[in-house]
Amino acid sequence: MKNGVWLLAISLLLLAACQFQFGQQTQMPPYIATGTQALDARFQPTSMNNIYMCQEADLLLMLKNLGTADIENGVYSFILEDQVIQPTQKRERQKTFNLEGKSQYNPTGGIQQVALKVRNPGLPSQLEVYDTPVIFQACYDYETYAGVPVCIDPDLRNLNPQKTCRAQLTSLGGGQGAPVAVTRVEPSMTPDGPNVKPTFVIYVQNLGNGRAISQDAVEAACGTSETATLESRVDVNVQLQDEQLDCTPRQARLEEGKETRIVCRAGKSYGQLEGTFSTILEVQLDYGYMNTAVLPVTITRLPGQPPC
Amino acid sequence: MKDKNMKKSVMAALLLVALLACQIQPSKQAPQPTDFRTGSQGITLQFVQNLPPSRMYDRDPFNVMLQIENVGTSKIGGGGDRVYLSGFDHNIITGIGMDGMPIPILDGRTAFISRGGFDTLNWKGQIRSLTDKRIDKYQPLILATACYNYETIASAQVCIDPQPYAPTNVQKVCTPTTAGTGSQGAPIAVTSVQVEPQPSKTRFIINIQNVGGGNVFRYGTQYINKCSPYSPGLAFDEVDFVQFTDVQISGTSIKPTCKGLDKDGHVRLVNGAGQVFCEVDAQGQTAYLTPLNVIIRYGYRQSIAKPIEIRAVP
Repeated sequence: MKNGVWLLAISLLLLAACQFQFGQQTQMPPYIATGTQALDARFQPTSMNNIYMCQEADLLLMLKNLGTADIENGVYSFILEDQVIQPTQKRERQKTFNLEGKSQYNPTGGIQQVALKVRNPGLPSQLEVYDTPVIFQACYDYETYAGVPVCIDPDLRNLNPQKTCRAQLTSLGGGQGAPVAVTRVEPSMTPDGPNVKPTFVIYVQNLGNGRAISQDAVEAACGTSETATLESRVDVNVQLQDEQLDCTPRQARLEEGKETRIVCRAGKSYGQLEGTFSTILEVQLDYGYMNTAVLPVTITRLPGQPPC
Repeated sequence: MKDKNMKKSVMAALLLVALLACQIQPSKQAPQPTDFRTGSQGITLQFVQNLPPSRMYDRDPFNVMLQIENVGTSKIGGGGDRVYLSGFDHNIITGIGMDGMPIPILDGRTAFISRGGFDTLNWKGQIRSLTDKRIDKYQPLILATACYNYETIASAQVCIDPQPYAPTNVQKVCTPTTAGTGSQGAPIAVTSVQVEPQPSKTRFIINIQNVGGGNVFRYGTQYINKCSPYSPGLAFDEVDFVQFTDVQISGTSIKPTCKGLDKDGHVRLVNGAGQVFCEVDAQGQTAYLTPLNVIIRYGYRQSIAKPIEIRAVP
């Protein structure tokens, strides 16, 4: 009897523990095309930002590609006040770099460490302490790719009340994994005889913490302090159902803190025989981008220290 | 001796158990015809579970299976009755035609058949690669639209009183009042028949309503074809019309007396409701009950939708 009771109790425990889990959905791969950052450049806390006169110091930076586009042949450079701080090896001052973007295989994106050894050649005799900034600049080509769901609706008179979608404003929040983001798309079905020609007003904006520049200026931009003269331009390329749309302007100029408006017209007409359907508007923006990081460095002369 | 008695007792017990168990069943009544002309639907559409699944990957086959059941009382299928799939980009989901799938012939419910005909319709397509187009996901709303011709047959008991205002106090079998008819196993229902008696003539106001939740349009092949989501669509003078095929009193057609019909016998529904006015000459001296039959036919469109997500395979 006792054995029977024990057996029953153990069986019940096992049944309770071994729950069959039905209907659990397979985990989806993460959706990576979000965010408004490209390159994230940060001086590491281990960088020596307080050095003594004549001393050498190591500056360390971590570069991360937080966007979805790969950075290829990007250029970085250090801007230093050469009289008080110099790289120990001149060739380290400016280099090219490559960083993989986020993907479903690599959701965090590429990471790279950059090191620069600097040295203070000396301070003028009247100075005991001197503050100087070390400026890190990175310039690279980047790309924004946005797949915007839009509705093609040739039924302008709403003769069919049971439609799957309606042509209306689509707001895109959170970015597309790049600093220049498509913020909203306004569709409009322009009558073309009995058919319609879709027109899309696309709004883009620089939401990253750097600066968009034209692709031609990428190489020249790094290493110059005259960045104010560089124009913020993006090349626009829009496709609908494998057909290129005619966009105005083709090269959009971005303004700080403001949306830029681009109007794209489809060449193809859509008739009611094609019905109302949803599809993807493919927006590709090509541009250069520039990021900056600053490390304030303090150089101190020790009491009675002789020149270097 | 004892054994014999024991055996007898066991046999007796067994016999008693058998008698108790095998009760004589009272004779069952023959099945009675039920009032089958009820309900407000013509057909029901339902996506078979996981066909399509809510989430798919690109380059997968795209299979859709739709269950269609005739829950009304009229036969459907054949002719121009079709079901269409729409709402998606045919460049991304390929292999699905725009001319729809014909609805097979499905019988309606009858007095002795409580369930109408049902069948499944199957589409097979293919999802194009999204990775090549750098699209992460595509989320269309798949719409299945059924376009079919249907018929409503409504029967109401109405009272005809040839002498409604007779001065003498004669006991009458009935008093002419509004006959409520409910729904008749079809999406267009005759909701009520108002009876207005007059000396030697009785008028009927037949009220109809779209109770099915879909869209009604003119009866005819040319209109059924225009119902497709891939057509220019039905014009404003083609939707919300039903055709009065016949109105009968005691088997005699009174349709020629009906007002509110156009030259093809169609009446327009406004906000889903309509009225037709018919009359009959009332013969005799005494009131009597008689059946009024109304037969209406029309085209009907109804849809169901299913949202799906197609993800690009990395």
